Amino acid sequence: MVIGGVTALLAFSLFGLLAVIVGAERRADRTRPARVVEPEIRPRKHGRGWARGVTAFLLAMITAETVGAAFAGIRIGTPADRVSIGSLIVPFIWAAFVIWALADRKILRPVIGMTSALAVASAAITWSLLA
Amino acid sequence: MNSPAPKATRSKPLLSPGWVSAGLAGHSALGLAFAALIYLVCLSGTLAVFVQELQRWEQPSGPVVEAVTPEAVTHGFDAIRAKAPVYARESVSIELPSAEVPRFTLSAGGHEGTGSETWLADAEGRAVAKAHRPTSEFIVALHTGLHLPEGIGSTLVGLIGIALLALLISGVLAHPRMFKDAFSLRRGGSRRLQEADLHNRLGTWGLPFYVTVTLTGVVLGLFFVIFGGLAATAYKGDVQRAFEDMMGPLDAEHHQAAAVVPPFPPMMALIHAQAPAASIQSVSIEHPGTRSQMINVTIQEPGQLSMFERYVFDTTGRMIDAPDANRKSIGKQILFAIQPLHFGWFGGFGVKVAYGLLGLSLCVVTSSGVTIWLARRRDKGRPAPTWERFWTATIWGQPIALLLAALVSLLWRGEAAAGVGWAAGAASAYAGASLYRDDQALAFMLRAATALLLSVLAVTHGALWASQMTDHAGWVLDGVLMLGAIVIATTLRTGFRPKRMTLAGFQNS
Repeated sequence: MVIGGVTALLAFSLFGLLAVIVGAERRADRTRPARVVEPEIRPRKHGRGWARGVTAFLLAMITAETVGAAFAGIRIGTPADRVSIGSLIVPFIWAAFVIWALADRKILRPVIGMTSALAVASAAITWSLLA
Repeated sequence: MNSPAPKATRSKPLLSPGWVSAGLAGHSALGLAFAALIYLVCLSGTLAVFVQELQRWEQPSGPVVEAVTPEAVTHGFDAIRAKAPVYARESVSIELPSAEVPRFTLSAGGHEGTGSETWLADAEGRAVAKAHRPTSEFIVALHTGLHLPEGIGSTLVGLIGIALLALLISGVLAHPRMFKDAFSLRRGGSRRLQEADLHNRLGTWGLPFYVTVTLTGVVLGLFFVIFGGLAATAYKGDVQRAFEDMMGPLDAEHHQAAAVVPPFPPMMALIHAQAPAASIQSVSIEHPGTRSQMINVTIQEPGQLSMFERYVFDTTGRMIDAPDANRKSIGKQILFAIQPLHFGWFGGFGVKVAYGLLGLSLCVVTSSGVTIWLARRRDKGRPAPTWERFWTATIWGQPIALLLAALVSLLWRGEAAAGVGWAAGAASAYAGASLYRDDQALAFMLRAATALLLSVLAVTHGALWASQMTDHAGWVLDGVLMLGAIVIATTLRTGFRPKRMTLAGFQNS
């Protein structure tokens, strides 16, 4: 059943792409460029770039791992299930934190958000280990 | 990276243009920082899906073995211990032939930091040819660790996976018209819009596949980082118990005292009795011939994703673990499905082809992302011609480098052959980027070189192995290479034709 589901998803992607390619239109050369949303232009500051980088990878990694560990400490299901499912959740949380750190105009917001999540998750781990 | 603006709307968009713009800024910064590494990992990963076929192509003289008896497994075990006695003290692994891989492979050693030796055996278990797979080994090592030291490389690839996952998430958030534009692909007009259309459509339709391979890749690359922290909490600090609970019995403490290796046929008969539909994939033994030896027999059940369902036997040949008990846990099923899901090693050759095509589409998404950024700069009057040329050299230089790795390995059996070929190819592409001023001329030249190398590789392989090619996979792959050459050559006819190649040393007037 799982193999069937994965194969169906692959077929969905391939047939979708095929339909898009077959239906491709030729854009008239005189077509004016459509209005597009541009990436935000931010002032370049060396220190801010480093702060974003450290938040995006170091703090995001530690927070995601800690949140995952807190999830694994919740006593629902077997420990093996919690570790396996948690292993799939951690990369998503990590990636979401990375993009939050890089996208937010104010770097302080992701720093505070991640630090708070880290504190709550650490408390949950401590509680689960002591319980 | 470039999303059409929402029209003056009747309904309020989910994300405001300000959020989309900020998301795009993050998407753009992350993409530019990691694009080259993501491309390298994606391209090598796409090829790694076909590593078994590539191994057959590298040694098409066989022996081709359809099936073996349990007695042949015993003979194979004795043969590899005789061929590689030192490595065999550590471990021996015997891979049985299957419909997908009709080879009977005997390996000894292979632990981290130690060497290994692999032989191909005939149907009776006689080791008849030493395995020679430099290109496939090079590609797999490039994909899993970028040829960096053990641990560092896989961690870096895992981090690249996190960056790609973040790009996929931000790509969805930065594209509010994703479903509305799902079928709209326009060619021609401004290069930036053309590339943006391609980037967004491929990104939309391939998204389920991209998320699957990226997520599983991150878990594989950062397994010990992620697993360790979670297991320490779930098992209250007892990580060894976590491993035993999830993977089955670990190696016993090593005892040097000699012991007789239990016979394989009764073990295999017991497995066939318990799981008649399953096929035995491999038999491996740690510290064979000692009291600490443990025999692992992995099986594949039809319709199951898991590759690592295993039976474990102790030194007396008594079964101490079986996969039946494991099936109760969804967690273990997830864990054992990660590798086949990542590489497309389930569901036969059709699934592999789908993985190959979608893997190539992810390479195109990566390539077009940077091209959009470069085109945007050009549109705004701030072109970056040097970056344009170097990005072109990265995109078309890698296929050239990998083809040269295969070609040099074919002609020279030295250990460094694949590495030398790859380095020469990559260096040549970047040298071209330094010499040519015209980005389009450079792209034309590199594509032409790719088409030429594809055909040269197919012809050279065919000529070298023609008289010994017992495995039809050799001819099939040569045909695929020729087909690839024709497809790329066709794009040369319809695409850009340079009127005059301009070298950096001469002014382009």
